[in-house]
Amino acid sequence: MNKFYFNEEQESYDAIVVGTGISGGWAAKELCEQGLKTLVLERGRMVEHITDYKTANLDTWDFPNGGKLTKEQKAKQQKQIRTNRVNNADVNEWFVNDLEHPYKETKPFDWVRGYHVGGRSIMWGRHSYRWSEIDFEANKKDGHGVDWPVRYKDIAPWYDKVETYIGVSGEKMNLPQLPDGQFLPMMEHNCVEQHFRDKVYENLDGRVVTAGRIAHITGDKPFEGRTKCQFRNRCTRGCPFGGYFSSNSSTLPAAERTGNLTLRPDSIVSEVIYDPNTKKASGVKVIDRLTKEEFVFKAKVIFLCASSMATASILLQSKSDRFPNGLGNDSDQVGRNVMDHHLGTGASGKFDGFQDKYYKGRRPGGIYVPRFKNLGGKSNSKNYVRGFGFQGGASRKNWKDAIAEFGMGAKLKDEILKPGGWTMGIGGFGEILPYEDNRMTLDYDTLDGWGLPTINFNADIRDNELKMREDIVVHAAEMLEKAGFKDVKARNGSYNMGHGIHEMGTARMGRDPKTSVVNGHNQIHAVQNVYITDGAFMASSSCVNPSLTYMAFTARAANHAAQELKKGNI
Amino acid sequence: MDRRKALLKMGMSMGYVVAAPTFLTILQSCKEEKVVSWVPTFFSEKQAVVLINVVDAILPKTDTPSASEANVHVFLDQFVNEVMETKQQKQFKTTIDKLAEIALKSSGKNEINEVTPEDVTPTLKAALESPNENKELAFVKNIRDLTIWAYKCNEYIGEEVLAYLPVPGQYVPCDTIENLTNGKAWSI
Repeated sequence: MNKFYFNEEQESYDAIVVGTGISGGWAAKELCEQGLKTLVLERGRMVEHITDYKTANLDTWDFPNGGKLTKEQKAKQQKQIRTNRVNNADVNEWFVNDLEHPYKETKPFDWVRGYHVGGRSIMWGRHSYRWSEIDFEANKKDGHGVDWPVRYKDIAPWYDKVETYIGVSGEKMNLPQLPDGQFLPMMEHNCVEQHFRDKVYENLDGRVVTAGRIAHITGDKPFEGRTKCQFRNRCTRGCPFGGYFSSNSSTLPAAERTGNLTLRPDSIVSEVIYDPNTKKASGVKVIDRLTKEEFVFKAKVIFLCASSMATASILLQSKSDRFPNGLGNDSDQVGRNVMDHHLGTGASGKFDGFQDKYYKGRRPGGIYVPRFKNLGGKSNSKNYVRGFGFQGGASRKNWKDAIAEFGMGAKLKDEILKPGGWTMGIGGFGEILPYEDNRMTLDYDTLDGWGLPTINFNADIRDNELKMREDIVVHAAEMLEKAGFKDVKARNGSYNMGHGIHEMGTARMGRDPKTSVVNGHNQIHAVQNVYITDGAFMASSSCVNPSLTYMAFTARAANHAAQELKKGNI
Repeated sequence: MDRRKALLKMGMSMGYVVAAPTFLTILQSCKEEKVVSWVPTFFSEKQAVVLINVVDAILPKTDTPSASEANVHVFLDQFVNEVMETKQQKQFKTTIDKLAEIALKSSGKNEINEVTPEDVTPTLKAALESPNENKELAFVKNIRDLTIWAYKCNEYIGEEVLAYLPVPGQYVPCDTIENLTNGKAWSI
């Protein structure tokens, strides 16, 4: 069976991209548009846009058991199920089988993976926020991690490019800690959210609440092959309208249109091959997922976009005389500084007003409270550095009050068929500092079904994060109370590393090859034709969702690579 | 049994029955009356009769269908079997048995088939209102919540009773309930 999509197999390529998720899709698009013959490798199965979104148009009653997973289904995802992200039949097929893809946890780690063309760009949360100068300067200023060799002005034009292409709905706020971007019309607040926004601003010294900035098409600007968000809120199943951005709806078709793209699914990359004569990488070793045959594919430049943990795993497996501890690992930083965003803190409350008001359409986003701590002056905390933001929203889905009032019977039934009372919840997303001993290592005693070593995680949050969490809870409850909500319940729940599904940091960017893995253009310091542009390169985590930043850095790196190739520098 | 005949008729006309054809069969009752039933997979037939009465006591027929008319009992039988953990399965069964025992005792009836939703209502209410005094019936609360959830998972309820809009196409952030849904909740 021919596994090569869009073009025939060829002897060697200008570029190889490992991975088809949010970073790999962008690498593919930019490299192909720069005229490079590009082979894109994906370890999982093919997913065709629209036709392979099997659950996209199903209603609750179309699924057995209302969509709840059976005991047998749950048994295959005992680890990922802890996050509650995989636990419904409408999205379950996008998440891997934990038994087929095992890993160890010296400390608990929720590793949520999607092995298929498009990767987690199909199931991502779609929140798209720029980093600010405050984020890029943070490591240097407070001494945690290593200084970023990049500042906001370097990446801002690439944010512009990415936002313009993917479509981000949002509202300009003119905040130094959360720069504005190229926005499509924002998705408006419902009446309770607007009330919350107004009261938080009034009662908490002008604190800002805005709409979540999400990668959905709103307004009338045309996007190739995509249409406007239809407010179905079934995004995670794959969107037949292309209403939100994914590799499948956008970057991979763009790459295909150039004629330069070859895509090979079912291709598990085990190693990057290092050539000591040229001091460059010459290609990658690949195992076919289904036949288990092994291949080598050659290229002039290689982009690792396999996702942070998988990319680090490939580097660590790529051992040679020059790199006995793994490709590019002179600094011993590969696999270290594992970061994520910590979740599980927040508050919820009920609102008595607006009882005659409702909304129409299932908006796929909510409100966002940008960071307001450690920005100088009164906002500074004595107990922790960095900051956090909140995501949340208000709705009328609550029928628990009807239960409490009526218990059972005819009146209860009448009530549950009406909109419930208003409830609002907000949840914190906190920054995690880079700690060198938060790391993943390879376990060669436990091999996977392809004979490859598995990952062992040994990472957790520390004092800075725990103190921040205490503060998040206080602020969450305070905001709701000051906005007049009742029965406010604060929550400081449990959190395992990985639960934010923003894992990053395992091949960090820095100025010094002794303390970092890639340089300011995402090239491995000592192997400059290998670029790492998934979450692995992140030298700190900020508190905002990272995908937009991965995309901007990937686009910048791909254009850099194309120029360097033309100049003969790599 | 007029209620069950009505149920059969209503089920046929509204398409509930079609939703789960494998569970359906026509059984002969001892009185040679034809009654519709289904073969439960998890519960015994006696437990299934109690379950029907329980879900109908929680969500009785009004101008909208009762829980059993929305096939909640069929849904729950499969749900308990396939989704619930063993411990909860046992609690569910034990609770149903206990409810049957109390209903027979308090109503003075001999056969479980004679029990009606009214016979289980006082016990259910007591279990919900005073959980501390009815610890062996603690699972009644879960049964009530599951019944409501299952009712809302039903196609007829979701598409015809509640406000149903699979592809909204737009977002209206704030308008009156009357304008938007005529007083109903959105189903999805």
